Amino acid sequence: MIKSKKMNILYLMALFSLFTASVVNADDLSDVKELINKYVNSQTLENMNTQAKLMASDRTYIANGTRYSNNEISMAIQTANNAVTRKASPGIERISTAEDVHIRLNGGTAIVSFYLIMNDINNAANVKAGQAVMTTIYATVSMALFKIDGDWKIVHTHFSPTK
Amino acid sequence: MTKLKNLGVYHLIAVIGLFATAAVQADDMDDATALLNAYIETESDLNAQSKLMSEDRIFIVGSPAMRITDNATNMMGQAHGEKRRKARDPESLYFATIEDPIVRMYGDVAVASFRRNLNFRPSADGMRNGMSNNTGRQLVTVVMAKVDGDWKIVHTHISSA
Repeated sequence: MIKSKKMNILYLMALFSLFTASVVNADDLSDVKELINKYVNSQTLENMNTQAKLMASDRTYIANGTRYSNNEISMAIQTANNAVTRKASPGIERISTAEDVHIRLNGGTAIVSFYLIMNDINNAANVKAGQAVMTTIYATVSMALFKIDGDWKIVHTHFSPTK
Repeated sequence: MTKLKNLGVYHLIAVIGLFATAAVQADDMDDATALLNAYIETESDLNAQSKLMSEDRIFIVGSPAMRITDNATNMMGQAHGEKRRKARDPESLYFATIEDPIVRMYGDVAVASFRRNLNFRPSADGMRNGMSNNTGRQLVTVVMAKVDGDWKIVHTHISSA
């Protein structure tokens, strides 16, 4: 009788731990998805400070055949580049989307890959002057995310031009 | 006296725990680095290289880039290219070199980025047949994860440098 009671308790504990593990995994997956959405939504031609908050301070960034290991400078370059684009074409807007997001969770680390589509909508003056209404840039992206002090942060990004 | 003894035991356990964690981390770094080196060294033996990967490794390569999620099919295609290269010039030399690796550990995952040179050196016969020295320069991301106690490559992203 006592033996079977003990067995029941053990069984219950095992079941509970399985349930807890799957809840944590589901939470992590939603958190990672949310972070990717925030990243894509902040892939604009504005100041990149919002996007920088999604990253670890030592994020490594690979794009256009260059590796940037100083994240602060890398984000400053992107912000400066965006400022010039906005000044040259006032009113221009970038709307980005991600397709086919693949996420692999490994404990407190997530490895993500997706296609990033960046749509630059031109201003009316440029369109009247004969430029295209929209220019689209395609990229294939790899990302590594890590849970730092309970928060998911991007620790590595690799961009390759696609199309 | 008993209280002091207990405190001593706790202290010892804490020190051992810290030491054990540091030792495990150092071991993991060694294992991940060894795996990365093996990846570079097996560039001319793709059968051996495929054993370093998980079955579901993701591979991103090319310009324009493409993502391949079926690792077995991907490696089959690469092995075919390797066979053709060896048939064209069996005495040629093909090897990879690695420069400036950055390897970071995140729990049971290691993220590495580095420059890779793919070097092809034809034989004298190959040269006579029009082949020449060739080096492809790349920037590579390799993500490794501990799968069932073994480190495996789970993600590779290659772009030209």
